[in-house]
Amino acid sequence: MTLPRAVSILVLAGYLAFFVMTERHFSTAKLHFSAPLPAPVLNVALGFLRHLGAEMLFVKAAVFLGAPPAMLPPEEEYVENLTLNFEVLTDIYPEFRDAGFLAQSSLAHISPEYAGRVIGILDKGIDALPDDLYLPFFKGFNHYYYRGENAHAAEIFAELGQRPDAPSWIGHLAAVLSGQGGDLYAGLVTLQIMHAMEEEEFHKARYARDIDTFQRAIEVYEATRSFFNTFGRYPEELDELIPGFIPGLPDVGPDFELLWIPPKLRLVRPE
Amino acid sequence: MNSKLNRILSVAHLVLLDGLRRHALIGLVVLALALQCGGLLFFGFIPRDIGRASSDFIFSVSWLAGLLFLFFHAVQALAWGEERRVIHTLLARPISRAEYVVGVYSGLALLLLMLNLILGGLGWGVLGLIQSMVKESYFGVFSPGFFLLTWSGIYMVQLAVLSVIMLFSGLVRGSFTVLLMAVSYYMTCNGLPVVRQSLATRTIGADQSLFMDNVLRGLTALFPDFGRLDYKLYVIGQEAFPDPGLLLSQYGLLGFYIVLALFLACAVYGRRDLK
Amino acid sequence: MLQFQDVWKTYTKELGSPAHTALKGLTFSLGEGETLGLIGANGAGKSTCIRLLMDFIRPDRGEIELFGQRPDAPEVRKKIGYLPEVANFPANLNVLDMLRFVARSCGIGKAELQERSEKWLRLLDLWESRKRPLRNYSKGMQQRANFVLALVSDPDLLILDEPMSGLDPLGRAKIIQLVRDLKEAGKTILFCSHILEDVDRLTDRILVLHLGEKRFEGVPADFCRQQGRADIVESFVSLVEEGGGDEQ
Repeated sequence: MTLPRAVSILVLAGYLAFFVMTERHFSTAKLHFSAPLPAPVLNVALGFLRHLGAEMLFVKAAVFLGAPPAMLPPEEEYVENLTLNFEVLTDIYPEFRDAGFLAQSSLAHISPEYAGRVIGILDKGIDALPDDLYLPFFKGFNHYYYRGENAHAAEIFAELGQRPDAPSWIGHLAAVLSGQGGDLYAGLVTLQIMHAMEEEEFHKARYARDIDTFQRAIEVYEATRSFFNTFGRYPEELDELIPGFIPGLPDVGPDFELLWIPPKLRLVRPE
Repeated sequence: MNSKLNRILSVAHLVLLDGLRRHALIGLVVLALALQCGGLLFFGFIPRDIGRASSDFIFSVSWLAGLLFLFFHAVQALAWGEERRVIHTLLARPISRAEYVVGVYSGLALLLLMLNLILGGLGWGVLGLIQSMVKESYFGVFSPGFFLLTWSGIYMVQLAVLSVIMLFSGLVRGSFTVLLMAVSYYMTCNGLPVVRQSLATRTIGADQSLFMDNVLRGLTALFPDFGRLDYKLYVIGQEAFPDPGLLLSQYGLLGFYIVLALFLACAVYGRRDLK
Repeated sequence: MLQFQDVWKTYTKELGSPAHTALKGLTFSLGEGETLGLIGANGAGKSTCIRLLMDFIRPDRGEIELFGQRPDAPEVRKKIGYLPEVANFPANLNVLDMLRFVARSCGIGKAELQERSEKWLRLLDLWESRKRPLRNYSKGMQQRANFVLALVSDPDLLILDEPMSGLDPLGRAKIIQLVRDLKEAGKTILFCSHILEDVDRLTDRILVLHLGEKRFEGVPADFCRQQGRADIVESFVSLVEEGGGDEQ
């Protein structure tokens, strides 16, 4: 064997050895999710290709999240970069709906803070795609479910429920959340509008029942206001209102129950 | 006038033939076609916005192919023409410098048009195929009119970049220098709208921003915002029809820009010594 | 037919190369049917003269006239057949593409082009390889292809810059004969070559340039007499040595 041939075989063997070692490391290592470049940098670098660039960021996130759970690093190691990824990609391409869907399903549940950041991501999509129903629904859901901001959620659902293409239950949901958030008048008005617009008898009867419930709750709420005007404080319990301010507590069941957390009276779903 | 046109066409024909027979360009077309077919795989990664992502993919591949053509074929064709003195062979005939500039530009523009027609045809087919493969809610609208409008926008921008490359080739010598200048120009065109937007959002209502805003607006006359001719979002029918007046003015603006750049290129070529 | 009147040309300073005056007040003329040999060492200004004639570069001072017009009038070049020292073609074309280009730009009809192309391609042994890309031609073949391109428009003035460059002895003999035939056909020829024997053999008059200045203009025999030497080569060497300068 000549020297050059021997050297070339050695070099090839060395290369293969390093290749196998490196590959073994990467195949067992946990996945890593890197932070994206800032949106302005990507906009400048990509120009016309920025939309495809944003979709690539989406695919990167989707592929990462779709990996077997054992390969994923602990949530706290990647969640910040993943959020940044969605923020950057929606900065570049707010019209891309899938970004909102994936951000919602992968980030909103982590903490109220991340639910808030998802709301920011969704807001960009909502501005860019005003006809989309899903993105504002997710936003309202995040306010209600992950951040406990019922009034805010009710506002979003009420607005959404007024769209001609919105399913009727969204408006109802808004009313229920208004009640739950302590804004009984807003809930009542929403229900009255829906009752007036609804043509199906089954739903109409249901709305009428709920309107009745809300009106009864409002009577109690007004009694708490009168109590305050008289004594300069709110009652500790609703029973204090009886009999001076109301003859008795109304029946709001079986769909609701009254929850008194001064100064707000809420209509909540029974546990 | 006829003989002038004939001379311009003779140069354009030569540039066209040279390009058509260049193996690297044939390779570029094959690569772009293969990438476009890759759109059939790419949409598999997208759960809902399949129409949007597929159309973005098809147009992006074509845009990329056009950029590669501009930066690597057009720049070389012009600079090598001088470095290798092909320009002497051509200008030894009764062709003026201006006719040479317009002729070379027309030849390269025709090559670009052919590239766009090939990629456009296949892109149309791929998008149609993807649309037939998915539910209507994922890819409901595919507008042929906007498809052509988007392609015309892409072609118009490519023509503008080409005219600037012609100008740079007259101003400086060497393909690498022209390439660097062309890339810097393109990046500046991309970056200027980002800077303008950033300034506008940071200093809303501030008086001191007015001067800067005017400076940046003035710079946009030199470095146009090519994103304004990006109509690919309309292809999937999720945008309202653009204002026809604005549409015309965008095309008119870029049309005059191209003519102006070519006019300057003719003036530069006409005045300088060929080495 | 061709006139240089007090022509000056300085190449401007560029990165890595200083400014350099290539021609210093050159005056000469060439009448119809004449053959003028342009000779000089490297850097004497021969190529500058030819580039000025072809309008590749422009003079700083002085007047150049070709057929009573300035060289920047494109129509002038219809009457010129130019043979560059080194052939340069677009990489992927063949000689037929180039011939069509010349015909179209010079307004030559299709039938005429066909006839003339075949004549010159056969004469210069390129007929068989006319469809091969020019990049695959040898240097000699490229030079002959350039000759075909220069002659196909049947020009009145031929500007030949080192016509023997890259040719083998057979090719060289063929070109010498061709130039003689063209001369006999009444063509005006400006001939620029390092091979002084060829210049002596083919030209009526010579113009000797040195460091951008005219040192002699007249018939070769007078040049030898002026320098007191037996032949043109010795005379030229003597002139360069007494001139005290060499290439720039």
